[in-house]
Amino acid sequence: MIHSLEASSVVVLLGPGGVGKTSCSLALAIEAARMGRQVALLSIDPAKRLAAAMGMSIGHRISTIKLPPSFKGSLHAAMLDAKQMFDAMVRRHAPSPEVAEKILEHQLYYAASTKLSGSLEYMALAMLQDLIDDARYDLVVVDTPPDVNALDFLARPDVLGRFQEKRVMNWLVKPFHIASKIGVMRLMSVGERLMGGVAQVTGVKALHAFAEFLILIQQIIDGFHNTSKKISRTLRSQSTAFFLVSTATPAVTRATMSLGLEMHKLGFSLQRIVVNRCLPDEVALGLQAPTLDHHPFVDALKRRKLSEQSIVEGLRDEVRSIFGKSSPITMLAERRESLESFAAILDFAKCFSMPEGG
Amino acid sequence: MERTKNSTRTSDQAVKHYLAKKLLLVTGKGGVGKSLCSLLIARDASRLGKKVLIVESSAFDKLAPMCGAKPIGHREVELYPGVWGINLDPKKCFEEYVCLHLGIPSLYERVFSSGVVASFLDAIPGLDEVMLLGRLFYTSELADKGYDLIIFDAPATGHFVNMMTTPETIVKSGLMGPLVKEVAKVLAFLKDTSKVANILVTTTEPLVMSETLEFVELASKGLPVCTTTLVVNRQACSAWLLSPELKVHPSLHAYLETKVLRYQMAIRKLEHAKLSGIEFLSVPDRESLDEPVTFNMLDQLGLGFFPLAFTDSQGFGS
Repeated sequence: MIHSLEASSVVVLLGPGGVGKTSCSLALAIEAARMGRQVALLSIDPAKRLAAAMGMSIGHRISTIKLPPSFKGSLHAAMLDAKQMFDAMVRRHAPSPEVAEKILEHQLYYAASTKLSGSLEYMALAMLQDLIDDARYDLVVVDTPPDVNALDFLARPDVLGRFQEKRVMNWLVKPFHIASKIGVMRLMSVGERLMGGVAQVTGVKALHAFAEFLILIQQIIDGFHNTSKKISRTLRSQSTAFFLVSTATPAVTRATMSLGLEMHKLGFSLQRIVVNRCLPDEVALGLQAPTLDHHPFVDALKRRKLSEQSIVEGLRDEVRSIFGKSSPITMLAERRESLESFAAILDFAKCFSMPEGG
Repeated sequence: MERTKNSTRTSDQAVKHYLAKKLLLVTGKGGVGKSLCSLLIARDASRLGKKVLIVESSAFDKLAPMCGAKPIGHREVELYPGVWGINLDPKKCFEEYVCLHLGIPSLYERVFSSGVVASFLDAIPGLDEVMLLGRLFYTSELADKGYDLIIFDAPATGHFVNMMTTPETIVKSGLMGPLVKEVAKVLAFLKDTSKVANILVTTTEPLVMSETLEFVELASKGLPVCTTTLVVNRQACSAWLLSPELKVHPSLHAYLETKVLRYQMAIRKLEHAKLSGIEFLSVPDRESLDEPVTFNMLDQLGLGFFPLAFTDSQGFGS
């Protein structure tokens, strides 16, 4: 694993929910810091207890993690506050401080920046670019948003790209805004006719308010579009490594491979697969004891061991057929101790210093 | 199949408690077993002769492959006798809303099939969430499909919270119009505790448990839906610690012991949290789940679940 960490400046961990992405990101970041990298770890919403165990302070954008003195590098944990990031984007891209204030006070702004889904992914991307641009760090580890489809996170720049390419603002929003401001739907242009149709569903007033808001934030959208184009390129470059994290159960593996397929379609390349929470070796060895009697627990463990083996084999084949080449698979044993103390996390990080292979 | 001792409520009563609703929302942290739990509930309902629809909304079908079926997508397909499934696509929900609910298919063709309008709709935050919830409302309350129970195999807690707070955000946004009125109806439906209940699934893993309790607190204050049931999945069997067959194999015994201790800690945490108004059920740990999942396997996992009266599990029969 050392190899991929040394050659990359961005490592993105993807995987279905609950596979241990956050713990793996943390472990990977710690291992990289041990090797001498200046690491920024971007977590979107880490579990509070994990954050506490790491000595991160919730509510701060970036906190430096205290590492053992023998570590050559450093580790900085960045936590995304979507609202704060959105505010910063508005201030950065607004044409004037007055316009920025007007946006920040708009009735729709609060909803758009905090409550409604989608904004989280955009803000995560914005924060990622900030960290990449920050000269203090030479490696950014990204723990993709939990519970939100990881692909949404990757596909966001494209959604915004379509919005811009299709010139939605000039075709639809502006003509409609002007027409509805005058109070007559002239139904002259194609765009006006289309928006007239949209208004049949949403109501004219609601659509008008939304159009007005879009026009107000147009420069922010432009600024953001540029950022996401940049991120799009970074994520597809050689210096970015993608890790797929999975567990060895049929349903989770299926979800992992669906992600792999989409990743491939979007043009991202796979560095490594991590299969987390496998049956520990000592238990698997215990199952081989010749004196073992039948017992529901023993039978269940044996079934699990067999199932894990065939799942990992299946993963290997599927990766080869999707990406056209095989990727190393790292199997990590289920841990007896929960990752609730710094010592436990440091111990877990050792898993990621294994030599290349497998 | 053994039942938990000292339970204050029999399994069947527990079952009836939530099976009386129209819509059950099953959520929990990623990977805790939401889909399995949805299937267990569906199995219980089907035993009572109910016609059930399990709804998911995922980029890739999760449910159908678990049942050994091909991906079903945005179609209602019978997965087991009396148990149907669908993977809702929010974009198609929007199409159905315009064509079927509003009854203007020509409008859809004329306006919404245009690429530029589609890109505009993509930019409207929260539209997908509202369309999904609207469709759940429609299927539960308005459609004449004859489902007795809808089970929403919902997104994991983080996204779930976002989804559930979206209607209120829209209603309070100051916007007005027909769509906002529809959203207000959906919100009123979600708040109706006689029709809608939230079922939270957890495992005994400490980090998962902490998040579960955080969610309960957040949900009680900030979500329109009422959490009525907590399902503790992967309950280790403490009785087996006494099995002579296991005692002679220290590594296996130690492995089980870790799981049992973890479970007992989780139960203590639940007791300490004093969650009033929430009933507890549990599902035993089977180490792995073979596919396809059959009714028979679901029955072995829990005939209407183990009602969890804070006693240790007696294991699963074979």
